[in-house]
Amino acid sequence: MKKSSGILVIGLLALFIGLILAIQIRTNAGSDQGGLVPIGKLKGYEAQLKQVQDEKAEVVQELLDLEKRLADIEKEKAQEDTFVNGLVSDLEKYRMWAGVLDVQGPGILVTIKDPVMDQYQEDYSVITNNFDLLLGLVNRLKEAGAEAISINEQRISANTEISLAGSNININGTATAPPYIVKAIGNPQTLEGAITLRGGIVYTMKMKYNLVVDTETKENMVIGRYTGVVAFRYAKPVDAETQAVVQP
Amino acid sequence: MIRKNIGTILIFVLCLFIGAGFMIQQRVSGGQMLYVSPKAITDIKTTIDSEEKSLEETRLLVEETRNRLTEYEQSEGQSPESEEALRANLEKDVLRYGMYAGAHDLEGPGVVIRIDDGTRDLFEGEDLNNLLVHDVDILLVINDLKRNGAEAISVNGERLIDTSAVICSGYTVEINNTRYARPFIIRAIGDGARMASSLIGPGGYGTSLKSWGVLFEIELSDQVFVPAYRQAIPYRYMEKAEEVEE
Repeated sequence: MKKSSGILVIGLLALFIGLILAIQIRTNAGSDQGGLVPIGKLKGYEAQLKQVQDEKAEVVQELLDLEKRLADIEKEKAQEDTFVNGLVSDLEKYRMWAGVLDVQGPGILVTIKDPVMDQYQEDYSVITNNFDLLLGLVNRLKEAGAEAISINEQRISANTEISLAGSNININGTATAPPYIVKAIGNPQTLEGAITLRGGIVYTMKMKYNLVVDTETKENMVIGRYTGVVAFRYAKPVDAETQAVVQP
Repeated sequence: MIRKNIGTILIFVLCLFIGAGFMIQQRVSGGQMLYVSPKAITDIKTTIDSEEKSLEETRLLVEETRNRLTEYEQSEGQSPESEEALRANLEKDVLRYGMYAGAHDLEGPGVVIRIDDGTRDLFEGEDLNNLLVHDVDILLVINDLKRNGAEAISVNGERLIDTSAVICSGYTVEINNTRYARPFIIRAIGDGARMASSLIGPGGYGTSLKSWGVLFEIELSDQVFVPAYRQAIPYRYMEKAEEVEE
């Protein structure tokens, strides 16, 4: 009797081990179709993404240098030709509207830091995981008449996104990390008033999320140009009078 | 007696192995997540794809710019052909930046989105706000469109430019200093399939809006019209930064 109960226990144990092994193998093998994917795979893709982004940063830098040389030649030409002069000044106007020009003026500087964390939470970033706060802040600044805005030197252009990608916030497709420094050119008092009012966006950041937020008015500061690529793959201009699509 | 001991030792050794197995498992993972959701993988794959495409485009632009530079420099701007080329190139640039600045009406493939307040009955004690469209909803949808490569966006016929805010003011939403009531029609030119799948895929913001009871419709179209920004753009505070000589 005693002997058989011992065998029974071992038998049960063996059954359990077998079951655990089977489950382990199943989850590993079926990871592609199933609910979960091993993190190693994601790491591989992250490395690949970083490589592509680094490469792109290099190429963009090259483009910026070339464009600068080109602009110099065009400017030189503009001095002797009125038609070219008109084109060059049009170009500059549109580049200013599009945010593809370094600009300067008075405004405010907002610094957003993560709250001081205890050691168990130090990997977690409050502001990164609540990127809609940045979106809201930018929206309020625009409402208060900001003429140019940048976050960590990424200029907010018409097509700029602020999105969570992995453990970073991507702005203009570039990964950014806290602390976030938001610059806005406009009437400094209006801008500051619009965001620091009680119950406003800075209040919410401080009270609800414990973020450390500083606002500072500046008499003059420089906001850099949008450094992304201005190119259209889908959109075509439409002639304002004939309503026909123009083939550029 | 000995036989019984052997059994005990066997079980003891087995337990030792299982215990060690658990420890190793934990050590390998370093207390971190071992698995992530498939969405994270698809997300990063889409990002890589779009980054690669934009890298390719940037390379083409570099090529084009370099060609222009050599063209200018070789002829030193003396021949009439190079004058002509310079003008044509400048005109092309004026158009390209004008499009980006919102100065031209644009047309192309993309999506048309309609967002409206939900019409279903409220649950017992439910907050009516669940069914209403707020400015943050519009903001997040627009942001998602931009993330997925939208080239031009309009909300109720207002072209969004770099300084366009979307502000909830009472019963209406204010865009480019003009007030609009619901429903909200958002038009975006770009890769329609990519934009739509991001919004209505699992975890997409459109899906969330629907689950709260807000009306959210998205439709692919080959011809989406996005008008130019028609107001004046006066700059009262900013000016072109003086060039710093290096």
